[in-house]
Amino acid sequence: MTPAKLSKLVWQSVNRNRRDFLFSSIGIVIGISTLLFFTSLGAGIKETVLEKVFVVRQIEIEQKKYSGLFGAKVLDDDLVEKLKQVEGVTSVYPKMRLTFPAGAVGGKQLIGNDLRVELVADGIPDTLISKDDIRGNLEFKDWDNIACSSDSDCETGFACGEEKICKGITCDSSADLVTQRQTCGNLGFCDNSNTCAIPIPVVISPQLLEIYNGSIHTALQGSAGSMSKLPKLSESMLIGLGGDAIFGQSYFLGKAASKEKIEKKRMQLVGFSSKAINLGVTMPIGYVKRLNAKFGNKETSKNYHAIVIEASSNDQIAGIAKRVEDMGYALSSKFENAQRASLLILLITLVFNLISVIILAVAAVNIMHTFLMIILERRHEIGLMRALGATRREIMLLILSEASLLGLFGGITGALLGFGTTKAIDAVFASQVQDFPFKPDTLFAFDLWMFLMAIGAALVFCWIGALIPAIRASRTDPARALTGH
Amino acid sequence: MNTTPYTRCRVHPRSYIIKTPFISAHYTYDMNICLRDLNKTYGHGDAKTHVLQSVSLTIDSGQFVSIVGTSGSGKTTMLNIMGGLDTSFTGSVTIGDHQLEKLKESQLARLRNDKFGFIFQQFHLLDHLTALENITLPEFFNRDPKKNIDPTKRAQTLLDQVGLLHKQDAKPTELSGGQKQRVAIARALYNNPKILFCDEPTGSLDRLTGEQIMELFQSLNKEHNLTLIVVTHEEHVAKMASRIIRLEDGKLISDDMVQHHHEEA
Repeated sequence: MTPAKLSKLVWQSVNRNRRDFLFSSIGIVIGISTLLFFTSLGAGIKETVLEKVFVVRQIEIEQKKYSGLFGAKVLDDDLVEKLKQVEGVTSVYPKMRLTFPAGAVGGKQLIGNDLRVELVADGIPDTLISKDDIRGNLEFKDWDNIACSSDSDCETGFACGEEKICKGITCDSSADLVTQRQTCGNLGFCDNSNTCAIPIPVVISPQLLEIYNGSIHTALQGSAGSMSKLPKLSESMLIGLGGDAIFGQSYFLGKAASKEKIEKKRMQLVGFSSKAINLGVTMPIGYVKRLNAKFGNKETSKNYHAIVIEASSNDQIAGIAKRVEDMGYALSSKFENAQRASLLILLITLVFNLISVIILAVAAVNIMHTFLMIILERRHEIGLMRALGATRREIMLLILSEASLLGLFGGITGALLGFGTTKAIDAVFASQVQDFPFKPDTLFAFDLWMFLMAIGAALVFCWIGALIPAIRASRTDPARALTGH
Repeated sequence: MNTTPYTRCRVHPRSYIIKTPFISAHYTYDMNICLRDLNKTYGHGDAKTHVLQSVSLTIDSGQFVSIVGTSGSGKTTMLNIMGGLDTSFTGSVTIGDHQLEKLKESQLARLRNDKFGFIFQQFHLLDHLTALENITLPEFFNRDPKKNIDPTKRAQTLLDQVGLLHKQDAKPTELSGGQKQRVAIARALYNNPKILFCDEPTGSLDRLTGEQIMELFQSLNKEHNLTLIVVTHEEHVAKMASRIIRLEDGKLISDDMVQHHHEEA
């Protein structure tokens, strides 16, 4: 039988039994919509938790806290090179913290008064920060270490120095802002030593903003004094704002052990990134290396406090983690939490998907029952078809094709129903649930494979349901069926 | 495929009798039916029933044969076996060069579609289809790509032949018993069969309509040289055929040629 003839025959049959088909498709529609709902919910939660709260594609290694008699293995450039050779590793990003006291002054543009705070900062390679995390024309790069061969390689206000590094040219810090800009360029400013400089670009973690808006701001509203007037903050309000960093002295820890003179440098917020330190600011690692070399302990200033390893895929993560542990290093608790969260979400998704599969299995039994009834009713028809030349295979194909049409209808309708339900829940969630840290725009994540899987599952369960009836139909004895026995 | 040539079946005739041998001279032998020592039983042990017992006969191509007998005599069973609808028997059934008991299920299905037509007492028309659509049903299972025919045109021609072209869009529920049977005949003729197997074709019709149907069979037999095998329990219907085979308790008790008045004249 050609596909065209089969399609026509199937359509004739389904059209005649449309009420039966409609009733038996209800179970499939419900099962598929539930399956799609829970799969997309699991993926959505996973996306929010694992891509914003915990990052799983990367693991972070640290020194072991309990290291035995010989001390902990240090994280240095040798280790970075070794890790680059590990199978599955695509990139290695060392992280370095400031190892001396530092403070910061700023906030006048935002709240009217300058705040003095301790400066907690670390440095990471600028390649670790995605361009999407940096706003506008700002850049996250080490401006104090731009290699050059001539002045044209340097920004406005900078000239190529003897060490082939761009150096700020002389300017007048008492001149007005427009004159300073003309000399030092749009990115730069004229510092107190009358030299053009570009602020240290820093990024902060979006969690910091969420924590402030979600918890600190709420608590401060009830406090006495000017702090109660602090506004809720958004990313756009903060981008481009700056403050002064004071390296070598902090308000609580006092001066650095080094005899070097305190260094004051301007910083500017250029973006928000999940790679940034949780509480503090993150700057290009070159600044931290130079500052640590100047103010920090000479023995430890070259060591990293953590190294981020990026894998080519999630599947590689477990193997890399094991390798790193075998090398004598510890995994950051952030990674362990991510693994637990991932496992928990996976288990919850599996449980919900199991419920969907049970619904589909019940639907398949219902389909089997319906098809058995239909085939019983159509016994004469099937007998006639056999008499007219249909083979057993063709009868089986006919019944399974009818089931396929039912599955296709149930699958598409179920997928649409599931998708519609998620959109309705998102709308209710957005309007009725109060803001909280990391509140996502949507609870669900969709991908093409989910829809294909939903329709595929509908087809498979319809085939399972129709298989026994199809076999029974194909074995119809035409002589007995047509003589009414 | 293992086949038994017609001559082999003719060489060992056992219990068939042709009382008017001159008629066979008219016939071509390409789809002769040859039954040899045909047996069919139901049940086991004490409950075993012999439906057909050692039936042997030959039906030449182009014959119009009636099979008569009382209820339970085995006539419908014999028809179903000859039509390839019932394959659980012992003995040999040869149609043309096809030995049915040796054919695979798919080969038998192809033979039914290509060479046989079936007509039943209950018509077995599909109520959800129009008369025209019912007639084109065999087309769905037609495997011969050479048969490049327009199903609608073919069905309309057949409906015209049975005098029901004006009813082509009618559903079976809108047709009388005689009209239903005519549509069923048109369906049976769709693939230009060589043999028509008819099981009590007039059983659900009044006498007059039944006779009209039989007259239609007679004209098909004469004009198209179609082999017709009609199972009936009605004597007046049986006599409209050219040969009457009688069965009783599964045994062939007589096999007679019928002399029609118009033939005598």
